Amino acid sequence: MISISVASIRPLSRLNLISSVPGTFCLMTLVGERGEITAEMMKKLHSVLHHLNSENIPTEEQLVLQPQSNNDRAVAFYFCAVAILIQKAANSSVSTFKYEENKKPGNWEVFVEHEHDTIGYLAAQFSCKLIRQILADPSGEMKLAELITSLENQVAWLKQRYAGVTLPKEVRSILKAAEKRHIPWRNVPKSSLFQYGYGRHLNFFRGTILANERHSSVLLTNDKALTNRLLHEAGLPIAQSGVATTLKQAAILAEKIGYPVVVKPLSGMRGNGVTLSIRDENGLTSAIKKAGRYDHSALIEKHTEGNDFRLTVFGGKLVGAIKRSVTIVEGDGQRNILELAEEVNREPWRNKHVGDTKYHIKKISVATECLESQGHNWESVPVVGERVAFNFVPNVSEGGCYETIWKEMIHRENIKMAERAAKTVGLQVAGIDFLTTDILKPYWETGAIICEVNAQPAFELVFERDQEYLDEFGRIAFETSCPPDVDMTLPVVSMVSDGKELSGNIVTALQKIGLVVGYWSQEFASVDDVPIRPEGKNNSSVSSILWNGSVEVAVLEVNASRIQKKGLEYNICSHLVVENMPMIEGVKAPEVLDLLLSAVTHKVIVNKDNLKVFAWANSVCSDKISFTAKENLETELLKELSAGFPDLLSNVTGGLADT
Amino acid sequence: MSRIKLEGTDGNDVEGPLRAMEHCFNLLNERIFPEEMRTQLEAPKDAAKLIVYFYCTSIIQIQKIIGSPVSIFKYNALRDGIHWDMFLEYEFENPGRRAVAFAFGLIQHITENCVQSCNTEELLEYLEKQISKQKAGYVASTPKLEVRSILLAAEKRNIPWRQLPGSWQYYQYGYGKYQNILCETLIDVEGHNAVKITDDKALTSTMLSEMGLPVARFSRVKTKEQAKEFSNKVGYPVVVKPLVGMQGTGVTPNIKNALDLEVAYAHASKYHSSVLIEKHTVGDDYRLLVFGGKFVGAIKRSITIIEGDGKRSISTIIEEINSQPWRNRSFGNPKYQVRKIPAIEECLKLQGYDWNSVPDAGSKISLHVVPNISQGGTVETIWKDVHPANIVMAERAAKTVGVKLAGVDYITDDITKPYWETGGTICEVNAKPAYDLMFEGMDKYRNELGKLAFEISCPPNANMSLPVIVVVSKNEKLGLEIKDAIKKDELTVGYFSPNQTMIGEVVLDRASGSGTNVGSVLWNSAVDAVIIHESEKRIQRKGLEYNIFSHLVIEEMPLVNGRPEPKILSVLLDIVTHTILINKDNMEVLKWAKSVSSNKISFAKKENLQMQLLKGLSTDFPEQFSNITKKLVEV
Repeated sequence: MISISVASIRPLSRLNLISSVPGTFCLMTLVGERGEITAEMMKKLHSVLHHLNSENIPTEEQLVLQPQSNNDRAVAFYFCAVAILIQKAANSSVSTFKYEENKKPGNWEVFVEHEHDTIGYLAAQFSCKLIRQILADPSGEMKLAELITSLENQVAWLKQRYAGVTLPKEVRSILKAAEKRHIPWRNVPKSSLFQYGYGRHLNFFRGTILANERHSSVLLTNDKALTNRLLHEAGLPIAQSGVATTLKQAAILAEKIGYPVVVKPLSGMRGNGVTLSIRDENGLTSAIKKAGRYDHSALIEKHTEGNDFRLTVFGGKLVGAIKRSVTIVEGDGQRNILELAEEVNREPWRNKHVGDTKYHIKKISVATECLESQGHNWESVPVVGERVAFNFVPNVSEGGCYETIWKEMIHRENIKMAERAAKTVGLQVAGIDFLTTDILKPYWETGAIICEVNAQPAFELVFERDQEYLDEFGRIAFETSCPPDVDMTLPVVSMVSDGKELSGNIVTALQKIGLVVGYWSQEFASVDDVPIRPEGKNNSSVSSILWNGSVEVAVLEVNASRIQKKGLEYNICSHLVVENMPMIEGVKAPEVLDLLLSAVTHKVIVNKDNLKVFAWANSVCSDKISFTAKENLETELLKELSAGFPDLLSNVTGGLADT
Repeated sequence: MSRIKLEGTDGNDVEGPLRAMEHCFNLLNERIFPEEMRTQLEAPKDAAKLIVYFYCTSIIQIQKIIGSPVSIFKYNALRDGIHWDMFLEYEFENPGRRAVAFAFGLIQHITENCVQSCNTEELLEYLEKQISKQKAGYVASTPKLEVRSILLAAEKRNIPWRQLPGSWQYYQYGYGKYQNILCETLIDVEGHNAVKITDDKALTSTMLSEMGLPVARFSRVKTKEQAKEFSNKVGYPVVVKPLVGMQGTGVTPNIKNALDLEVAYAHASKYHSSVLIEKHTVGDDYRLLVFGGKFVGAIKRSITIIEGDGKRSISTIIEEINSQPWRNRSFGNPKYQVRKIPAIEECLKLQGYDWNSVPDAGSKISLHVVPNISQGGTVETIWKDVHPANIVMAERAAKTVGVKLAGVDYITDDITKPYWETGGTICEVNAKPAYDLMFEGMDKYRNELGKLAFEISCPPNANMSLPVIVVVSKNEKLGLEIKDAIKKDELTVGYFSPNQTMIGEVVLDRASGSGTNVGSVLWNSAVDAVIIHESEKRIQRKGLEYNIFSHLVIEEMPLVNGRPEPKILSVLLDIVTHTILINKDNMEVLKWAKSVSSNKISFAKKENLQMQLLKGLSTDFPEQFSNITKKLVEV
């Protein structure tokens, strides 16, 4: 009986000792007689992989399946390949994997890149299961087809999981902007919240709602009637409107405003509960009912003719615009509506990413309702030239259409109007919905109106979902919250030393000048001398120090074994002090120093009295390294800190001079 | 301002109503506290005048009852002797208007029911009903005490503020581009993300725990089986809360067994599909207030426990409790009163009582299971004795979540000991904290807190002064010339006159209702500077509608009904902050200027008024206007 067992599955952070990417690590062991691995098994493994490669993955991403020198190696290879390929099939862009036999033969240390811990873990688990299945079937009775079916199911399931953890494009572009500026970020565990900036520089954002977006402004935009009042007072164009809480009030308002009218729930998003172009009291009644599902108050507005534009304003400036419309198909007397929709769904812009159906026409209730109102259903066949719409409101994420509108195509006054609307409600990042028959003419000439102001607008569509533009967007968005001239660097000192004496002295010196010091070691962590875990065992990670808004300077002890197990749990630190060589299980580990060096932004202070350390420092070529005698390590570090952070630390060395 | 028409006051049937009105006067007076605020009766002799007098006093009195410290009223008969014009002070417009409606309704009620004789009981009943309505209206539409303390801080710094039109919770301060919007005590710099974190108790606890701050062990569950499982794991007693909720709704603390757990779970799940199960922390409930990262005060909240004496019913004891001063600081707002709500009734029932029971002497009865003040709990200010470690803990908690004005709810059985010694835990962090009960609700402390809160939003050295130029003249020529002189590409000027409103180059469409009052220019976030061409008519009809402006240019004397009215100039003089330019070529204006003593006044010939003003602007607002005088010289 031959099988594999997998142990110690654990995630490694981006900076780790095995690779330059984050991934899942595990120990794979071949159990049983090598001779029992049959050619059938190898063939089956190869076919499964081939299927995975060719059916689910675009050509440029496919793996080259090389033949392996022996069966042992082959199994390890296949293990990695399956884990990588299944992630690729789930739309994750990964490629690196490594496998190495360790001291015990048949024991393989395996590393497979991942984008997300959960996905990596699941991929490894699945690979293990698949290989076990194949190895458990020496006679080859189990049909390839069955295996393939279960594989396909697994791929579909992992795709869903991946879609669930992957970040929206807008968020990614904002994070990219942070990374370019070497500003650390993370996803707050178990939430959709993101943090950027260590220690006292800590800021949040969620979706496209940035750190300094004011809550009062976001609340305000939820109240359509109040927003309208403010816009009107500022001289910005809105439709005549009123609020009704009963059908009677609505009818009176509609009479006063004059049909046709629009009904919207007072607070609500994405066109939910909105009815346009209501011509009489009957229409009004059903519209009020519809709106009533979302809010007990409704806004009654004069219906304005025009095209629907979304003008996106960041930090008070217009950055882009799109024109949105309801998707309309034209019948040909032969194909039914579902088929016509499928053709629309093949449009390239709707399929920028494999498996991404966000902008597809889907069989959602509002689409079905819309079809029914035109006397159709998904199976009906419209006659030649007949035009059928898929929605009442031009909502792109519900299958609508859009067109990029460049700034030159918008009248200057309309641009100013949008910028002022965002300023009036006080939003940093705003999506202004603007209805006009001609965006090249100023709003007062066309009777155009601002229909809504949205916080947290999606801006992926602007500029044709092009990556470069999206990145530019992300940068502008990030800068409204974190201006380019702001220094977001926190002094973070990584310490490699045997005892705690050196770090203890450094912490004391820093506290003397009144700084809040966060200290972390494997055994003990504290902020301003208050322990993180008072009850005893320190199970905290450096996150408790680095992502702590009270910390002004962080001192982190390096634990080589921990880095081997988990990777370095931070990507950036300002200074590194190396007193002696780190050891892993009694063996010196200069690779830990290499890793730390790649994370340092300012200076590395090296103990030249330690031969091993001295040798290492000489062997790397880095202008960040400076050599000092052991007894001067502390002074040298404090000097470097004051030089690197003059505002914060100008008194540090002064304090020392007193003692 | 109000105008009424009296009909039929020369007949004999005016006696009855007049007696009724005097009676009302007295009844209303009785309800005014403190007693020194009561209106002194100074009734005129003439019947018609008397009616108008009582009309006015009732408006003033009702406002005093609901909490507006007003007193001024004036009335004047018009030439026809039938119409009367009145001026009635108000604190806020909405309650002021409602007070007028109240008076009108009262008179109508009296003339319908009290002509021959007056049923005083009925009258009293009518008045009580009206008073409650007015009180409720006042509470609903005027700023809470905490908000007032923030607005007061703005006023002290001469920063203008207003309530957003048609809104009861939003306020704005700072003219033009300096504007900021608050939502009650949610100041404008409060980030949306931080506030959302506080809404999610599970996320808050996770984040606090990661930072080493003490939270109770918790689990988020969706079924009662999961609830039981977790409770068995951590051990009873436990607390059950809906994931999202405020003011203790749906919360059951100190659950000791599985049976009670089921009931509590059912109760909590009514409010949210996710429920939090937490290990119960033994102790009292404290609210630690942290403003801008610094601890500013603490109160202890506890369940109200009453002691029987064998004589009084529970209802009666509660009435006595409700007379405690701190429960009555928000005029007419019963929010800190112990009210007869179902939750309290339930609680009494469980202890074997109802509202009318007379408990035995020495027996102790709890009035609720949660100590929330809005549900009738009791508050005690903690002046000192909060252990420094707990202070640091609260400050860290606020920083972790990121709220600038935070109410940190902390449970411990001894606040004088550090949290790691007592096992105290942070239960919640609240944005938009109420702080009207801090320091026993005393005004001076609350105002101090308001000042701190305001300074977080508007630092003491922030420049909040918008250039606002008021021009008093017969025609718009001077004002428009000034506008042309100061406008630039980057500078948007708001212009308001009786004839037109402009924001930059855009003319607002008054026909549609936009730009019809001076506020649309002053409170417009796009403007860098404002020019107002003042019209006496507008001031006469509506009052000035602004409290502060920077520069005044007086070209001609304003006229009211054809006669010069220097009072308008005096009003403007009172509130200008920088300079007053007088046209010395106009005799009337010159005379007035010489008669008042003000070091802000300077004189210029008519043709130099513009130049002088521009020079003044470039000195007073150098960043915006450094180049304008150069422009003129070039021309």
